[in-house]
Amino acid sequence: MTLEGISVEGVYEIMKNPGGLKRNISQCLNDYDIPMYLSTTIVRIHGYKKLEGVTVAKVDDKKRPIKGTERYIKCDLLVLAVGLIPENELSSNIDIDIDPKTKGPVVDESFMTSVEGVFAAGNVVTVFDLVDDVSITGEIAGRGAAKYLQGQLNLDTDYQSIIPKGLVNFVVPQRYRSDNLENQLTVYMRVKEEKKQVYIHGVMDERVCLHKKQVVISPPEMVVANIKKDNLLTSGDITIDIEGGEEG
Amino acid sequence: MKKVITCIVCPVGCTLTVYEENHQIIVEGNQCKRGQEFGEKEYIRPMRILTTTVKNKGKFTQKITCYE
Repeated sequence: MTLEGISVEGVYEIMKNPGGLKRNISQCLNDYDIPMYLSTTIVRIHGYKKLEGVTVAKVDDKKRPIKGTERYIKCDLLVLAVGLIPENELSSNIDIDIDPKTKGPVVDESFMTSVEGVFAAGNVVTVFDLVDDVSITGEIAGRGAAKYLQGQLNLDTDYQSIIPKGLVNFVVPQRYRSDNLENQLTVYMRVKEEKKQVYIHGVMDERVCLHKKQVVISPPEMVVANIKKDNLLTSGDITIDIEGGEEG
Repeated sequence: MKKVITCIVCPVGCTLTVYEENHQIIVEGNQCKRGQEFGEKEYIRPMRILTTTVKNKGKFTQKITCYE
């Protein structure tokens, strides 16, 4: 917006911590000297037919505006960034199971949904941060659909679940059939809080199947890990947790 | 002169401290080679890739997109 000639007054974030990637904050805000105000929200929008200004206020720990901290900002443009959720119109029309955490379809190792023969990928499954991962899940779903059409996708054995634990908020895919895996199972996770020097720890029936060192984890950054097929047991569920670490 | 820079090479976003000592540029806080390289370049001559539009005197469009 700065480049297009708009004078940007500031960015107001209700959370205590910024929700975006550090490199985006650096390139989009710091490079243009745009201030970011944390624990602050808009409490009032002024103007009739045309925006004239907004009132912002600091918020307390429970995100409630604090009286006396209000500040009026004259402006003629307000951009709201309120997060993204998957588009589910198609999915809900055919009664595909939705994961309340990802707000997208429950998928398996081939990104097949709960409705046989219907595959989902990318931001329809969960909102990714990197287009690279969107493409990769598209490839997995594509390969899965091709196998399905050739009758090579096993649909008979029971699913094994991938269960998020502790700081792990959700895992995609949510379940798998091990005989449909090629060499590995790629899992995408979002975590609840920032932590440094941790291990992504996956356990199956008290046996470790994943132990990956991660320099930093944080809620706006999707965590990706690969579990080798050889490390997986043919029955039982995988539980994924975060081990060790320092506060972010 | 010491500069504190956010590394923008990858999503980790390391906080780099870059300074000169004995005619050498020292980068601290990076966790990989690419961070070292970025820190040096950012210290000497910061560069960005950006997508925007520029005004154009042409007949058909008033703005054209611009890359870099």
